[in-house]
Amino acid sequence: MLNASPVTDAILVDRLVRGDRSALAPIYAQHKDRIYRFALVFCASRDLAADVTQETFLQLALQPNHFDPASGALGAYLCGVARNVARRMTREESRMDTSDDIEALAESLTEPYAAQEGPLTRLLQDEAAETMRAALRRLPAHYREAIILVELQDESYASAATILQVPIGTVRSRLARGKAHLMDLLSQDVAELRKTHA
Amino acid sequence: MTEQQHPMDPALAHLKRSLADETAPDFVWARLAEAAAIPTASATPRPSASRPRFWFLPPAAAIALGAWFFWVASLPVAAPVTAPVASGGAFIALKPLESPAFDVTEARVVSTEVPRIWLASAGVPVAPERASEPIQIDLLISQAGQALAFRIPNL
Repeated sequence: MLNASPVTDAILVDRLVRGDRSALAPIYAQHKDRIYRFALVFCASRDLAADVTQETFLQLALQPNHFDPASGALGAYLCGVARNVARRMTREESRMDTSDDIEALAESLTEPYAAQEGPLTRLLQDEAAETMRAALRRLPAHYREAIILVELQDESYASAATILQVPIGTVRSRLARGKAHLMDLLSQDVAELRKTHA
Repeated sequence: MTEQQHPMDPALAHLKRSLADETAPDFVWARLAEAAAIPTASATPRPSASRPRFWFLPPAAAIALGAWFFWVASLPVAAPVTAPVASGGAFIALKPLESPAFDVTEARVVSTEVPRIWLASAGVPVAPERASEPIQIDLLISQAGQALAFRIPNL
């Protein structure tokens, strides 16, 4: 769900096309966090997420006429650019060592924190979220994208289909298969770790 | 969304809540602003990087003011049309030589910079892509303050 006004976005992009780079600031302010969060989950790295965010908006600044308002909202376009940039950058990065993440997951699942409140609860919840991000990172990219867009960013199926440039039915199937794959990954990790500690 | 609940949904909802606090770091904008300000060869003419857009207005205004001052101070003017043109290359007349206004008695040479487009107005061919670039010229200014001719010393 993209909250920015399409009219405002179109006017700002038109200013960019005419060479007025000052129009980039309001566009960035409006869309930066969504793009950063997408990249953060996709790359599972804050450094890479910052790089992806920068590169995404830089592409808009340098080639604003690549955005066509008739084919969708600016937020969806930027997400599409971020997706391509993130895919390229993660290919260039070596695969992360996830052993620490798996351990953290096992701990967070065995601690009885759910009914409690307080700093420890918060810490454990944060840890669980980090672990989920790491697990998502190990999903194949096409599943990961669908889950991030629909489940974490509240994009509609139609909007996600536009961003991913696939039919809506494909978004639905990738989402379902992605969740199943994610569950398998987490279950295997926990089982493996428990076996190691037994 | 009326999809059936998946066992992973609560965990994903938790991850989504944790993401709400994540914002793009401030340094991203700083780096982006710096990178986006880099002019590209096709988008920005060469002189624009170092000169304001209407850089030629102040010197042009100064020339016009000087010309007006001399014109007011020395009216009327009547002198033979002989030409003690300063050395340094051929001048191109800006006024008909037979014109009474073409009075080079006590004329002086003033060096200044003008945009190349100015040369076009004097009949000199100028490449459009270089129209806004500055060029050094010598102006021959009459005692009355009128620009009579010019030359390009660095041609």
